Parts: sequence; structure tokens; C-alpha cells
Amino acid sequence: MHETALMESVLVILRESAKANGIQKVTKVKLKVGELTNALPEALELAFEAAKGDLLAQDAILEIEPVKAQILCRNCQKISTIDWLNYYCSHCLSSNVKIIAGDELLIDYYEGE
Amino acid sequence: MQVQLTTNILKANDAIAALNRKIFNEKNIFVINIISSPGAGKTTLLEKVLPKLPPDIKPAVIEGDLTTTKDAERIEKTGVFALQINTLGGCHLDANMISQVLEKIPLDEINLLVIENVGNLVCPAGFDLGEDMKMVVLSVTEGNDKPLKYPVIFREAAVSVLNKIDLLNYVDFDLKQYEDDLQAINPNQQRFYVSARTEEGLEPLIMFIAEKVRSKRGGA
Repeated sequence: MHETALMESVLVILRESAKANGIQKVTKVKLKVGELTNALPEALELAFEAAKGDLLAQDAILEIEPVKAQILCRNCQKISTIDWLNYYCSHCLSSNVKIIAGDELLIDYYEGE
Repeated sequence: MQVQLTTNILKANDAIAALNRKIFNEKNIFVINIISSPGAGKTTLLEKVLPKLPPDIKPAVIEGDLTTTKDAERIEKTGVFALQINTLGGCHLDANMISQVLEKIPLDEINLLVIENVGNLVCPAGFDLGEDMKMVVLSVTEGNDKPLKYPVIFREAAVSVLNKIDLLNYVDFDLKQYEDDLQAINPNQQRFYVSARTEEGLEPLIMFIAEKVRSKRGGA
């Protein structure tokens, strides 16, 4: 259940930013979650619900944008979209690749008043 | 009002991990983060490997478990310094837990720190502790399908250790499939095949760890 720990980190970041921006209540949070991160959207939702209280409004919305995994081939310099299990360039089949998307866990933006 | 952040959720953990890494680098300590499911044999592997390390390798161990000090006690019996962290329900170690115990570890007397993470193939993969290398341990009794089912940790780990190979004749573990799957997920991974119980295959792993420690000390 590391989604609970992730949501705690989200709240720490939001609390700091909300204070700096004079925001009392957060009404919407938008996350970008890479599909290689092991973070389950359902579990994040549950942790978000549990975290509602002093900062998150009772009707606050969590939006999660899943991000597909992409690799850049160091051999042919082309980008491939990959599934979980094949870290090969789909153009030249090289395994000398670098992950360029799909491993991110980001707070994109939030809304509040 | 909308506030654009584009902030990494794990930035707090990653910042502390970077501080840990700085301390380890300054003191020339090579750090291994060992990850496996419960019962794969992480602690037994350490009990067998640590006493056989060459004399210039000076190890210490941090043990992560939900509760009890059983694992740290087992390591201490080998004569190696061990410190137990109890996560009290937490499913993984994070960088802050490591940071908080560093002052209790004789960092000036060691050059190898082994962190045995909480038994779990999922959550520990996401949390950088400041280590040089992740090592994933799988035992043949768990089945050869685990790299495909838990690809994140098998991709992140620079080293994999297949344990309990003395039981290969008694279980339906498809070694060829295991190797093919690892090749697809992490073609550059260094792979070892051992039985901690019979001590088969330990020597190459011990030499590999010793070389890593020496090259950090010499080449940093």
C-alpha cells in the first residue's frame, strides 16, 4: 500500500504550495502517473478520499492521467511506445534504450480557493 | 484558482536519498538495497555471504521489517554490525528511515552497507534510499513467472540472485523461461544462481560484491 505514502507526499507538497498561494481549500488535484510506477489509480483514489479534511475539500476531485511508457533508442535514436515487458526498440530491436516516459509520478496542477 | 506544479510526488524522498548518497560517497561506502518477497532467503543469503567476504570488505547491515528484531539478531550472530528498523506496518523502507539511523551505524569503520528491505516485490521498487545498487532475490519455489508479474523491480535491479537452486529438481521452475523473461526486461542485469543453504554458487556473488566495494573505494 505505498499509494498511501504517495498521497501523504502529495499533501505535503500541496500544503506548502497552498500556503504560498493563499489557498484555503483544494478542490481538484490532477496527477500524471506513469504506467511503470506500480501506483494503482484505485488505491490512489482511496488514499485521496481518506486524506480529505483540513486541506482537501470534502467534494475535492482527483484526476489521474495515465502516461504510456516510451523509450528512446540509443542505437537508432527513434522513440517507441512499449508495453510493460519488452524494453526493446520496436524499430531496430536494440536493448540499449532509455525510458523517457512512463516512470513519472507528478502533480500536474491543482485548483483551490 | 489553478496552480500549475509539475512537481515530482517523490521529491521529498528523492531529496533525502540524495543526501544519504552524498554521505555514502564521502565515506566511500558501497550500498546495496536488497529486495525480495518474504521467504525468498535474503537473510539466509546474508548470513552465508557476509562471513565469506574478503578481509578488506567491512560490512554492516540495516534490516527492515514490519516488526521484531529477529533478522538483525541473526546477522549479529555472524559478527557483523546489524541495526533493525521496524516499519510498524509500512510496506517498504524510505530514504528518511535510513537517514534517521545513519548516526547509529559505524560508518567510519565500514565500506559496505547492505540494506535488507521489507519483504515485498512491489513498493520498495519505487523508493530510492541512496543506494548504489538494487539487488533482487527470487527463490525457485516462488515460480519463474515473477519477473513478468513484477517487472518494475526486475528492471530496476542491476543484480538478480536466484536462490534455492538446490530445489530445482523438486519444483516446476522453468529456468529457460526465467532467463528469457529477464533478458527482455533487463538485458544488462548481472545474474547469479545460488543456494544459500548448500552454499552452491555463492563464490561468484561474493567476488562480485567485493569488486564493487573495491572499485568504489578506488575509483570514486
